Amino acid sequence: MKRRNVNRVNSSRETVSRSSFQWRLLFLTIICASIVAAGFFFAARQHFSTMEFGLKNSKLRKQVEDLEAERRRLILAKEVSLSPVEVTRNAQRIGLREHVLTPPTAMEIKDVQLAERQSVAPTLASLTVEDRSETKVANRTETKNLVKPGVQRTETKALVKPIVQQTAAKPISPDVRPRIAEADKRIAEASSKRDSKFK
Amino acid sequence: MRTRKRPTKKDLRQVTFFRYMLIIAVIVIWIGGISARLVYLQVNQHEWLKEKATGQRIDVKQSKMLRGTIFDRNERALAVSVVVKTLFADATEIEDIEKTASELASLLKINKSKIFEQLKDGKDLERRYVPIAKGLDTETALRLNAALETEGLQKSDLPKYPGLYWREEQKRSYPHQSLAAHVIGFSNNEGIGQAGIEQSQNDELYGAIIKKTQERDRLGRIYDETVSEKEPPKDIVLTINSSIQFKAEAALERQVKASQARAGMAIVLDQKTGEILALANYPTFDPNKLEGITKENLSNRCVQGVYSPGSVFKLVTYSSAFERDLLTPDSPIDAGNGTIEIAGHKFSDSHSIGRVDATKAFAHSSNVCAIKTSMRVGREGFYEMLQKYGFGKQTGVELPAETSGIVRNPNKWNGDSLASMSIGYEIGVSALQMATAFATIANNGVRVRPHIIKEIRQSDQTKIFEAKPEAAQVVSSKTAREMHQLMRAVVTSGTGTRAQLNGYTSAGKTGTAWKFDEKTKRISSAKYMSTFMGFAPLDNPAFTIAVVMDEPKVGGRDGGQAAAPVFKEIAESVLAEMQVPFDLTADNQPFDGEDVPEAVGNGSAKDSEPLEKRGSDGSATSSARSDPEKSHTKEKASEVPTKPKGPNRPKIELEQRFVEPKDKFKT
Repeated sequence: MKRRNVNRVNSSRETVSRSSFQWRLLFLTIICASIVAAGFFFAARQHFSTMEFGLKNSKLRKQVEDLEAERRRLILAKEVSLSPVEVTRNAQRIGLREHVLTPPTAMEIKDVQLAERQSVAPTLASLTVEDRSETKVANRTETKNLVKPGVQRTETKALVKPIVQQTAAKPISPDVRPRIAEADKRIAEASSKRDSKFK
Repeated sequence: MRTRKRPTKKDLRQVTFFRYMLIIAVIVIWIGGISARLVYLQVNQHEWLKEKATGQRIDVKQSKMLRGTIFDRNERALAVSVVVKTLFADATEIEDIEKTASELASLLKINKSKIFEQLKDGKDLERRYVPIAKGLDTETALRLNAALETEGLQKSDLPKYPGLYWREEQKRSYPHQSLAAHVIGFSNNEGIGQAGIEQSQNDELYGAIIKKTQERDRLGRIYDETVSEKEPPKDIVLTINSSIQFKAEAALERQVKASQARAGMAIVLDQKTGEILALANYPTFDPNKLEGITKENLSNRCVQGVYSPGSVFKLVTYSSAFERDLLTPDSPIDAGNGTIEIAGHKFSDSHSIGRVDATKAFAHSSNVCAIKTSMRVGREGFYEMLQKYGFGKQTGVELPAETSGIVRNPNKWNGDSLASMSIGYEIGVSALQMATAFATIANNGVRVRPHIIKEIRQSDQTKIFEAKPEAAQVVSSKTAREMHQLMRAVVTSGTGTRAQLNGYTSAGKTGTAWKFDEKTKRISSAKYMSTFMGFAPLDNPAFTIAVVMDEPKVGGRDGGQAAAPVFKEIAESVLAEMQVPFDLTADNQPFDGEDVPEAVGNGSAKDSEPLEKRGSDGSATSSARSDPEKSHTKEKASEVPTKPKGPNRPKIELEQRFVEPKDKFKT
């Protein structure tokens, strides 16, 4: 009887131990399988995201190439429309004619300078005696260089005015560079602003 | 009743075990089968499958990088390459040629039978490249893609039409057409420069062929791309100012047509920096239309042509005398009766001026006075000055095929060579060399190497090269100032009165030289090279301009009449554009009088000695046999002085008509 009990007691212990081992084994299997599955999942995600980035990259690269080509095309179109031949043709088509600038002669400049001096000359009443005599001398020397009354003087006020402003008391310094550099700088700045819009 | 035997625990365990093993066996067999197949595919079929996958996935494309752009100094594009597309057909993939041909003909508006023939031939010969339309822009390509799209067609490349593909090419465009054509040049279909900057800077501009390895997915989308590393082409910025170039070309063209000249040249130089602001030749060409190019209009005469400069070369003669303190502008020189005989050769003036100072001798372009001056300088001194001015060697400008001119060594000179050279004969120069000599004088005796490239940079604006040309003192600033005085006299009271500017002072020298006739191999007094070179304003010159007219036939043919008006037109328009302040006052008001005729020729008559007796360099030797009096009379008669044509200026009623230029530079 004791044996039976012992046997029964022994077999139940074995059963318990075998079943706990199996559960542990099963649990371990599930964990390993989960890890492997997660690894597959992660690898698949990386693969697809790589593919996606690659596609986006190639699309962007294509976009950059297309934009660069378009930029060149626009530069070409701009230059063609601004070319002197094209501008002249379009201007002639709408009836415009080329205006030839005719700078005034030295005589005309002299006249304007004289007129300017006279306009700022003080009135006799406001001058002292010494001033008046100085003014008389100055006027006398000015009149010497005037054109004789018989010679017709062309009306150049409107033409000459800006030139007077231009020559107003600005000495030509040998250090002043020709205007190429200044003009270039202005134009280059304007062009770079325009081009940056296209970029 | 028979009772059923209850299954024992042992039986249940056996059944469970059996089922378990059955499942395991199935799994093992299944996995084993798959593994075996995997091993077979990846080991046995490895090469074949790899090849097939690579072929499907990887696509190798070759494309050419766009050729570099050429800009002017103000960032105006003068030459630019754009992408164009060529529609081509893979004839082997087209099943219905008739249908394809009719659709293409209707879309491209071309002859249907022509396309049909092309496709049929291509299919018969199994051609995979049959060009249909070339040089199409992106807009046209998109329109065609939309029109040709076939529903349900699985194709990765556009257009979605069986057998049709696009190929990208580039097209070189010159948006300003003939502007600065000789400077820019042109390139051929392969993208190789053939002339001008396109040729000389081909290595910088050239767009290399690059290989693109693209990986595509099953839908044909590119997910990975590798581009082979190659040096990208660079952009070139020239010193040319488009506006000044246009003005120079327009003025030159007008005068060449008006005088029915064979050709013309004009150069505008910034003497301080050596930058070439304009370099014009006429006749010219349009690089966009290469069919119209001939040898005549393709040649860049400014740097490639050699000619006898004539009286403009007196600049060298007098400056060398001033440099050695042999002369001053006020030194008297006796021109005598207007003729001089050197080594049996008679040289003559157009008109006798008697005993005058050096200024007047230069202003009236007296050959006799120039020869006497050169005699004082001597052979060695004169030759040394020639070399210092840069004659006999290339200027180094970045244009192809530049000539070095013709300057013989003194030990090869004849007895009258010095005399001939002093008046611009027996020497060959290019227009650029001569312009540089004048720029040297304008720049207070400092010669700056002329150059036409301002900078070279990459497409991202990174500068790779910036021009920093060398400068050298050729003559002292005192000599330069004295030459300014002489050159001013030419314009105010000498042979170059037509170069007087409205509002500005100018200075320069005229030159009229007989030309060497290629047909007769002799100097011909019927053909002239008429020159005017000078600068403006007198004080602090903004630029130097050189104008050369080749064989003017109508109107005045000397430099003062043929070339000086071009100088005037260019100078006035450019000075106004640059907003240079006027400097013409009553003090330096020029003389408003008659033209002063120029002495032409070196005394050699039309029927001078044949080629055999010429110098080794082909220049004319001087041994005139004709009567100098007759030739002198002929020249005088042909040059009847005429009043200068220009705006009517009121005459200054001063104490004297003839205004001596004030010597501002005398110390």
